[in-house]
Amino acid sequence: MEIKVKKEKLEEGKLTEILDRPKIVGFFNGTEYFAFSGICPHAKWPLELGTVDDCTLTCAGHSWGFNIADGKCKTNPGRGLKSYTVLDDGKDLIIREKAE
Amino acid sequence: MGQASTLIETKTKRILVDPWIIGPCNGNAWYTLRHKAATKKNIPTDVDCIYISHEHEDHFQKETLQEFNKNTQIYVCKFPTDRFYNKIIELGFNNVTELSPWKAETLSEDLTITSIKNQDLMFEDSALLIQSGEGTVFCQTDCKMDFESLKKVSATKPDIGFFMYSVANWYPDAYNYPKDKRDQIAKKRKSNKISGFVNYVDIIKPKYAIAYAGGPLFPHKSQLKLNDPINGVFGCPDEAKHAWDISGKTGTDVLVMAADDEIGIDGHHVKNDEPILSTNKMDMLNELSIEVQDDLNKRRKDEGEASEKLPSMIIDYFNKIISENPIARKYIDMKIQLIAEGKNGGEFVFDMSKQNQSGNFATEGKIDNWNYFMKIPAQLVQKSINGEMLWETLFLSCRWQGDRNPDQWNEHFINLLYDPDPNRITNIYKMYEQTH
Repeated sequence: MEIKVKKEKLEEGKLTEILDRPKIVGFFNGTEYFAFSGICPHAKWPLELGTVDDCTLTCAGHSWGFNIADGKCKTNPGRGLKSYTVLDDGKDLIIREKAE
Repeated sequence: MGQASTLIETKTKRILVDPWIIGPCNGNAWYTLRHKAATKKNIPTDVDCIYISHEHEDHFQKETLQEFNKNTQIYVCKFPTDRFYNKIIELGFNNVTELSPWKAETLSEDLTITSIKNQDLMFEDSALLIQSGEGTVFCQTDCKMDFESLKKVSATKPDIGFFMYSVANWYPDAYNYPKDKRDQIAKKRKSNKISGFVNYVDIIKPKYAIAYAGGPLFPHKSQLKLNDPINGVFGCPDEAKHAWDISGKTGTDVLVMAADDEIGIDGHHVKNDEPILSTNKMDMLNELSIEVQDDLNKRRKDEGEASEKLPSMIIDYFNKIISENPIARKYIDMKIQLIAEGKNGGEFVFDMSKQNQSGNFATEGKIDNWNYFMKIPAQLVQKSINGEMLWETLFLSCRWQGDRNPDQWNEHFINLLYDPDPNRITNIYKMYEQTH
């Protein structure tokens, strides 16, 4: 799977849904772009409602925390998000599934 | 009425939710947020029915329930296992009905109640929706709800919603952290939970929201520091209201209610007591602590001593639950050190590492390379081994010390202790492995 997204769609510091099926949420921290599955594996809350502090995304529902770089769950190890590769071609972002 | 205990009166019925009103719970440690302990006179025994959301003692408290007629209609959620239903039957109640999630139960011509089950694979919990011609009330209890269910509740346009706002857990206080780190974790946890309150209210958008089912009071003199309103992890309802008020979100009035206060469906608030707030908590706690100290000490003394057979019982118990649940061990993958402290206690090692195929999972002894460490009063270990007290209840008491290496939550271990029935565990991991 590969999708292309306009860079301006990802505002700095704001979690943004970039695809609805499968749901993918993106984040731009001012330096790097990140993309990951957009539904919390705990209680299926949409992750764009959460907050990001440093590299940790905290779900708005029950505060599960995820590393936005690799999707790993910090609060419940083993219950992570799918993490995507984001390539910046200058104008667009190319979001791809990571190689196994 | 305190914690999640809520009495809902319509023109035709009186429904009591999660009655914990008198006495302590969770290992003689927790009290409700009242500045004077409730007595039996505070218990509304003349209700038409009781809904109990789940098994934790701050929602399902035997001392309060014993005051009710055993014919009282009790409703619970239909969970994957019958364990909670059976526990209520064991108390002598003979009119217990399990409600299928999201299937409305008609109580009278224009009154229904709907049980809403959480989606967690491992822990059973539920919320309740009450709909009548007079209005709609939502009680979250402390159910961690999935987003779709919240949207469904929102679609019913509740007039009043009761929402959890505080941590009610042993993390980080039971663990051996340096003070700075403990305070940092506590501050973040408290803040996250209050944000969760704001988000729940914002999604459901009732006309009026009440912060409840929050942190308890720990009035025993050995635990007073847990109540610290600044560095403690347990919040007060005024903090939830403040967070809502400054969030910029609109459409709901958040109210602070004291135990025994009343609210009409039109939001009319009758104040019958002084609420416990972050500003007056310690003064009120100190009064309560003096009031209940002798009783609490007596209750703790009445816990008795561990049996001389406790060491062999611990070995047998853990060998059984670990050997019967290889799939759980695969995910737990830890070595655990238990110190049962006090008379007839001892030191025990539980090897739940996934590579251990020896069958010799529980032994007496001490190791340095533990992943999880527990030092627990022996008489409380005895109660959990006997099945008289959930391990979670013991942990929630905060009357123990723990440590973790690595420092991370292991839901699989807590889940095994919650109910080690092999059928339950097998079913859970069948589902778990389909989604992970």
